[in-house]
Amino acid sequence: MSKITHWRYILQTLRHHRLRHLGLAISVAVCTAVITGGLLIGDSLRFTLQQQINNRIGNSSILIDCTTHPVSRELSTAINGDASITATGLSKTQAVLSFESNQGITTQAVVWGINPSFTSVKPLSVFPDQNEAILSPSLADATGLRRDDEFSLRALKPDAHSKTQLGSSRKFITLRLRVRDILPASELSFTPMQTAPQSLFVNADTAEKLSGGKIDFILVSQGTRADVASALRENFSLADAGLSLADCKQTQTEVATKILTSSDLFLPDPFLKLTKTLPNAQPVFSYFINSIEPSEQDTRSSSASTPYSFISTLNLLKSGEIALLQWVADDLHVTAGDRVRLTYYVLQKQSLIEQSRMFRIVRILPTEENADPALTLPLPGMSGANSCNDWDPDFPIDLARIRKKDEAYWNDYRGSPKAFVSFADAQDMWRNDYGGFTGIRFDIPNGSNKTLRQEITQSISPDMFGISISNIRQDLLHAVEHGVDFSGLFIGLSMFLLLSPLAMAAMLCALSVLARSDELNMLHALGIEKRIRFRLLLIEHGIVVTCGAALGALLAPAWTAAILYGLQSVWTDVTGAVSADLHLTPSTLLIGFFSSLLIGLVCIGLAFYYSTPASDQSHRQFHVEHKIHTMRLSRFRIVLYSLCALFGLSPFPVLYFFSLSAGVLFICGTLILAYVIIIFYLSCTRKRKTARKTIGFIQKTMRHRAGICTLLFAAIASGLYVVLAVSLNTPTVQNPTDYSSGTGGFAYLAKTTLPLSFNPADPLEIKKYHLPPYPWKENAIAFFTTGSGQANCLNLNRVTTPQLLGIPKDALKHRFSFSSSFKDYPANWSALEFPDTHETDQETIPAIADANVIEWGLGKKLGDTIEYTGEPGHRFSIRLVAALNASVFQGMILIDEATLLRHFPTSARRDFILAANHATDTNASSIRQNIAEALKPWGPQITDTSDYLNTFLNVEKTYLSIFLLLGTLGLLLATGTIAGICIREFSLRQNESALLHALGFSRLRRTLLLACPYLISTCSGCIWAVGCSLITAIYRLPEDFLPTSAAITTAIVLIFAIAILFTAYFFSKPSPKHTL
Amino acid sequence: MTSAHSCEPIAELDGISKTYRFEDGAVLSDLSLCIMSGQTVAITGPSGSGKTTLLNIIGTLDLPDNGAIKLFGSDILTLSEIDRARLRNQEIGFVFQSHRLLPQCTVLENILLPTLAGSIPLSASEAENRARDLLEQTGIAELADRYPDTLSGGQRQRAAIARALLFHPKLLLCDEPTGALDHENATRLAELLQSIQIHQKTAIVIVTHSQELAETCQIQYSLKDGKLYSTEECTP
Repeated sequence: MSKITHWRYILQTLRHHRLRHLGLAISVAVCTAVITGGLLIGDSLRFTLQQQINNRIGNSSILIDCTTHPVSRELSTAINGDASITATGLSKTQAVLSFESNQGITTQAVVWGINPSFTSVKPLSVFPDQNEAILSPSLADATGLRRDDEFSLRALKPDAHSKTQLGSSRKFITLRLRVRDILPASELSFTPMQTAPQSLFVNADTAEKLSGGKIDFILVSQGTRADVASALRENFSLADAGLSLADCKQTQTEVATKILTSSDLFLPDPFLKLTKTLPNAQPVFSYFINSIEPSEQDTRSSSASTPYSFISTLNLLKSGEIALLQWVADDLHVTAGDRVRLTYYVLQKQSLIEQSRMFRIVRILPTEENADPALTLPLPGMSGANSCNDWDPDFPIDLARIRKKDEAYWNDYRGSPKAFVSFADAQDMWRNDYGGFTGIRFDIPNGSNKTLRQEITQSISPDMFGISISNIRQDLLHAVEHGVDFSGLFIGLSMFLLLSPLAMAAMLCALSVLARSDELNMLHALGIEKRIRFRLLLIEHGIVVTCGAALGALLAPAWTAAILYGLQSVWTDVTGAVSADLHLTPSTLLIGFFSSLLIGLVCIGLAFYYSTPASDQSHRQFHVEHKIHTMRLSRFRIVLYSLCALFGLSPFPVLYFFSLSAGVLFICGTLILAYVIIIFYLSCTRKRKTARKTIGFIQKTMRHRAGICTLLFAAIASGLYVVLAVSLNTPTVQNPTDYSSGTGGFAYLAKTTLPLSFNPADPLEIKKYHLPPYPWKENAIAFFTTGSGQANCLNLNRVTTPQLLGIPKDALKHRFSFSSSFKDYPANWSALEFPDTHETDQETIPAIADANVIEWGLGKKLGDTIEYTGEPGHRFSIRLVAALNASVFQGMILIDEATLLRHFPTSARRDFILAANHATDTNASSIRQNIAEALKPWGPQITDTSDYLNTFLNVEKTYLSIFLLLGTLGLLLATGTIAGICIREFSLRQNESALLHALGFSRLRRTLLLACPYLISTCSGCIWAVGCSLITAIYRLPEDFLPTSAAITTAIVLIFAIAILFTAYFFSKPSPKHTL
Repeated sequence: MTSAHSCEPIAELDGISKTYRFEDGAVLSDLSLCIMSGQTVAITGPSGSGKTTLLNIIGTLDLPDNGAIKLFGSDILTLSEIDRARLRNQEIGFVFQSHRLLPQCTVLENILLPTLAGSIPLSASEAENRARDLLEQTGIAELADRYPDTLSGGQRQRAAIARALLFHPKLLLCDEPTGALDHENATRLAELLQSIQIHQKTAIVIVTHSQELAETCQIQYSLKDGKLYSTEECTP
């Protein structure tokens, strides 16, 4: 039976219009391939980063971070001993590697101290023995070290890591190690960053030399967070807390006095609560001072001065009062009522400053009964010394000042305090960012020592010491999930490539409807309802779109592979050369397929909607409506012209009132181009009086074909405009010598592996530490940083708490430039000193970051806050109050230096230095060498600030180049579409050509008459595109832009002209089908 | 043409007007017309006089600005678009100057196209049988499985007439049916229309420039200045 059904009709129509539908299917296939490819790129990179996490942290899931307060190995052993937990302890040390085999080049590395239980987290084929190391491949690549090579490793001495610094250590330890093997398993990192860590593994015994036997991390591979927290709390001992309970000299028979002190020397304020919760407890503040001297009017001996003494506190004393041991009173020849001056160092910004204060003597205490070594401050390098000559503290002392009687006192009483002041005075003089007291004294009944120890242990918790537990796997995966959205990014970058086929699909659908208007009108006349006609059309084209989408989904992996190849070969700046493999997931393919199917269907739906008559009226009615529309357009032309003029001219007032920024100029260029497109359309549709002359005939033709001519003009102009405007606005480092540029006017940026123990920018400190003169003079600033993980464009992961950098007050005045600020905050460095007026539960600190870091790196905006954990475990927020233009600080959050040191007194590291004047010092290569030489012990990495800034700009440039490449592909596709339109146009106008032929027009003339409307449209489109793109970069035009752009425009115009003329010439030949 | 008078009115147009904004005057002005079943009506007139507009209004493809129009006793102006489409599908047949056959369908499939409308009064087999009968009647039975682009102009127009007659419409509207045909084919087509009128009692309205074709109709009107002028008496 030969009945006609909807499906039969659709299938026969599909077969009949197969060529037209092929074009539609290809358009949709390209669109699907681009969308699905974009999604697959995101999937592939995400999968690669997830694999990276698995490789780096093995099967661990929970991390106990003890970096702010390293704990004993026994603690990790005890936690591992819990039946439900598998854990291993790790020590982490920053170190500088030096190796003769490669001409003594140094490089930075992270040294992980592991024990055999580590293999439960990450299997290792070999385990390092004493003085052996297993290198990560990236470190081996950086150093050129191979198996069995030897190298030196330099790090700060273990005690230099602790908080026990009145000054900063400059003591290094050097180990000689042999490369046991190079294994990918040694790439261990807890920082969300895709670049391979340069790390090495040593065994725990070797690591002990670097870490003092302490561990910084406990990595848990089995066990719940609750179990881990419980085990940590149960096993956390006084020793892990660095606390020790010592007996004081017994003065009463029935009461024993004990003192709780910390290996960190200072106890932070939260510990004061122990003095309230524990019985008979009172705070003690012991300190080391440089001298005790009688005041000038009380001096009985001109040379009287007691050098280097320990001082403690006594609650009986009032402010300004001091009690001396008889030993000191005898030494200074002073008595009660006299005044003495105490001279001491105080710690400010991790530097020592000498200060002094006068006290009135109120008591002279018997030496023998009151000299109590338990009250001393256990300073490293001093407390265990047998004699004063063996003192080797971390701060400068002059051993020549020590007299025989001082040595005798040390022999008899060790570090027993020689004087006592009130606790309030002690806090006023010596409290610092580390804490406000040094011990707690307990008066307890004899024999209850054990009870006291238990009570103290129960009163402290790991979080009081900044020890935190995190779901490391979850956190790192979260950073990947919320990192750079490559799917969205590549779909965005492929916007042109996406829009071209979509526009082509819509156009093909619209043309299809127009070409089949007779058919549709006939169906209408036959009584086929509009909804049935629409359904037939939609199903027919839907099948084509579905086939196209399926084809596109099949092509998507190839497209993804091509882009991934580009990311690993040409565009390595974008991903940090991550070796991403194609990762196909059925769900992504389906999402890509269905989303492009939906887009395609919406697109053709709209095309049908707008290309079929508005009402269900006759074909004639449609023409009538069209004519009415044309007439209305004509009537409103004047109004429209005026509106367009206003619209087009709007950029100029904008330019006048606002700054001449690239963004404003881009808006200007785009608005002007939009205005020009409208004007072009209006010019095309303007009524012409006569067609007697050739130009009149062309104008008439353009009026008749205004839509197609405007489409050509708009497509060429907008495509070329975007490509040119983006090219012209490719970012470059502004004049690096300029103080307001991203370099701040500095020539070099140095990052040191080991934190600097002094301020290299301070001439006084250089002198104090007997350091060689530095080459940068006053043009240098050393910054404190804390934390890790930079939220810059080089990091594909989302860093939630980026590294903090402290800005010294007024240090950067007039340097760098700001793009914007939040509400009332000024757009300059003083914003860091503004108090936060918002009511919050916790302290909120003003902060500054690069504008693109705020927007892209953090996904935030000005006014938003980020929560940090300071030392020892307290929470505070920073509020982003001002945004910098692209600077060398990209990826970091900048806060006031004093605030940084207040919150991170121990973990703040002085390791970021900006030095030398770019304008005067960059050409002197010797300056760079001198800086490198001066900082060599700390493992410096010195970069030219322009080069450093360029690494960030290169990412942006690479994105732009990808956009340009994909945009150019889109433009080519659009050009192909336009070529198709032209061919169709010429084909349709063959009757016209035949008429002209019959009227005696030569073929050349016919060709010109046929081609001119399209030539005018495309060529003027090119010219306007160049003109508008010039506007977008008017203030930063390259010198060679005009000749280059003229050449490019001429070339493009010529290509189009030749192509159009050739096509027109071909179709101008009369054919038997098209004769009069 | 043989008369087959009946008193049943098929189409009643009463004082209809139609104006297009781009034209100076009304295309149709206070026009009244009554078409009885089985009548053949010819409407002639100069180009642009509104003949096709009138035909479109009778065929419910267009609506008048003023006046009343009744088809088969129903007020067209009160019908929904869907009802009008159903009316066109089952009660009215259209024949255009251009055959408007779908190139992707065979002649038989083209004739069966009205069945795509869905709610049709015939089953599929009945529709096909009727289509084949119509092919016999129009003299192109052997061309049933051929595609339109392989047919001559006259054959295509016969196929178009067959398509218009599929559901035995009570009213057949022909817009210049012989306009694109030579004299011989035009004569054969006129004979075919006459035969249809005789055998199926279908009212036929023909808009034409051809005086020869017009003279084959029972009633002839001339459309001028938006009004109909009768060339012989007609009972409205």
